[in-house]
Amino acid sequence: MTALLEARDVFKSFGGHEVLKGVNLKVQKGTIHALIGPNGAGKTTLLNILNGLESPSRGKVYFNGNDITNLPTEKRAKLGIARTFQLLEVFSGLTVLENVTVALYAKSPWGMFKSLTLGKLFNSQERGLEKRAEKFLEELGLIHRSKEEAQNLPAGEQKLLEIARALAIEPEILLLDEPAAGLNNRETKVLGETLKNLCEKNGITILLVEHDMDLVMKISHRITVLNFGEVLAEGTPLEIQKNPDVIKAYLGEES
Amino acid sequence: MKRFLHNHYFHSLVLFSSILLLGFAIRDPYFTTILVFAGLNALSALGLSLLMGLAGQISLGQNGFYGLGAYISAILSLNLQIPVPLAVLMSAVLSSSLSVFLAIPALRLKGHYLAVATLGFGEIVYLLLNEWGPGGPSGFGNIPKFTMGDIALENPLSYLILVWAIFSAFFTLAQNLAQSSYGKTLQALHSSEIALRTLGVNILSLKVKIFILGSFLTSLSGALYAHFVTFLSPASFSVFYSVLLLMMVMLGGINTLWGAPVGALFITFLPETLRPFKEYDILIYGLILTASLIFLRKGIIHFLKQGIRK
Repeated sequence: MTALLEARDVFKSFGGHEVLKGVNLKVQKGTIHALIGPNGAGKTTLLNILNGLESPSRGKVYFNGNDITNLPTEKRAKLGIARTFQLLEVFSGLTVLENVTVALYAKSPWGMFKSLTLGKLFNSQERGLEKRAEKFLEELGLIHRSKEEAQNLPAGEQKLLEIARALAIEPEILLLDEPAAGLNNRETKVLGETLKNLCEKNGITILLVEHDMDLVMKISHRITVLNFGEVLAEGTPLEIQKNPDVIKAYLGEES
Repeated sequence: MKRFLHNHYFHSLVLFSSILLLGFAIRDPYFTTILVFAGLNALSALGLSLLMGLAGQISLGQNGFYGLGAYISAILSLNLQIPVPLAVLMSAVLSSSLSVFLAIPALRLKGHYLAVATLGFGEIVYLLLNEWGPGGPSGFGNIPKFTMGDIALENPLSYLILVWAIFSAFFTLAQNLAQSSYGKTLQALHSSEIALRTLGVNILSLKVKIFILGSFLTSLSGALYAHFVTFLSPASFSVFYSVLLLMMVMLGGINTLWGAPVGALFITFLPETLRPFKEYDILIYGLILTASLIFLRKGIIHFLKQGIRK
């Protein structure tokens, strides 16, 4: 079975420093796949390469079996790859609701001329947008924040907003970079439920970079452990928990 | 009723009628002429406000488009005998099409780099007008006045109506744009280009389009200027004009399109009110501008709104 998203033998170096050294990763359709590893293991770099914000020094990226290595980020988004960021990238100056309507608009834009002539009042396409955006905010529990400016939300809620915004482009796969950072225990639990729901009910595949091991172990189908730019182990949560190499890498034991 | 009074179509109409009322009430050709210049500046500044305020893309090369708009329209009507309204339109379209050649390389740059690249463009146009423009540095005259069919817009008052009608129309369209999802996308460009790309937006194309729209408005303003003054020389199109527009947009208020007309009226009338100070007028002009930028950092509009709330 071909994987939905695949990194094949990916290398990446920044000025002589090798961050990724031949990483292979296969994310199967309909699963929650976690990518874990100590800081500096290259997780975010791998996400960036998967959605085209950076290009690999060597190696390929495949989506649904097609080579997308040279496709720019915006075209990958159109194919169905969405993502959120470790360092927040909400649209400040726009309200929470507008953050999502921008994404809905990006999915099916009608262009500058129509916007100039019809504006918001006389364009029937604008009307449905807010209602649809509210649905995504409801799903992430942010509906009570709709009218607030995005940058005024606490960091945790901004992360949720990024997820709502990413969902609005109706992606096949969601790449999440540390979505639980900044959330308290209760919020993390809710997030876990939400992600599980997205996967099971909406059929969205999720690739998750996360440090919260409770969350990772609870919701993931498969886990890949990255260490110093190499895949250290891959398997089910149970297999990963028992893997001696992983334990060593995380606890920093001398061999 | 409230909904009617609170939308921008009505506001543009109020602005347009107030200016006309002012022009007809005072009926002084000199005052009217200044109001015409204020309208032309407002149109140019609107282009910059869309670019800078809404989309966060700085341009210090608007003088280039103002100059191209003016020269192309003047030459089309003077040498090719094209009717003035058509020449104005053709010139604005042509000049803003040229902006694509600047936009595609320049808009890959950001912030200071973009400012310097556009500055360079304005300077190149200024030099070209000096070298190749009719009359060189001393310019040329006899540019036809604006005529529509049999009606010649000879006196300043009729030109006042034309300029402010065109401004108000584009002001309304610009506000349509700002309120639409397209406008929100431009605002988003301001805060996170990366996030926009991950949503599937081609940001270069977005930037190029708003750049063309902005330079269209400034070029149109330049063309209208040419047929009002009927004499052009490169001196009017130096980088100083871009700086002036920048000040209008900043002083009026960069976060609202209203900053353009308010800033343009303020900056255009300021030197006129300082005439009684004779040789000290430039000094006082500079002091007032500096003071306004310090004390009205968020712009006149913001200041007025706060005043109303209190």
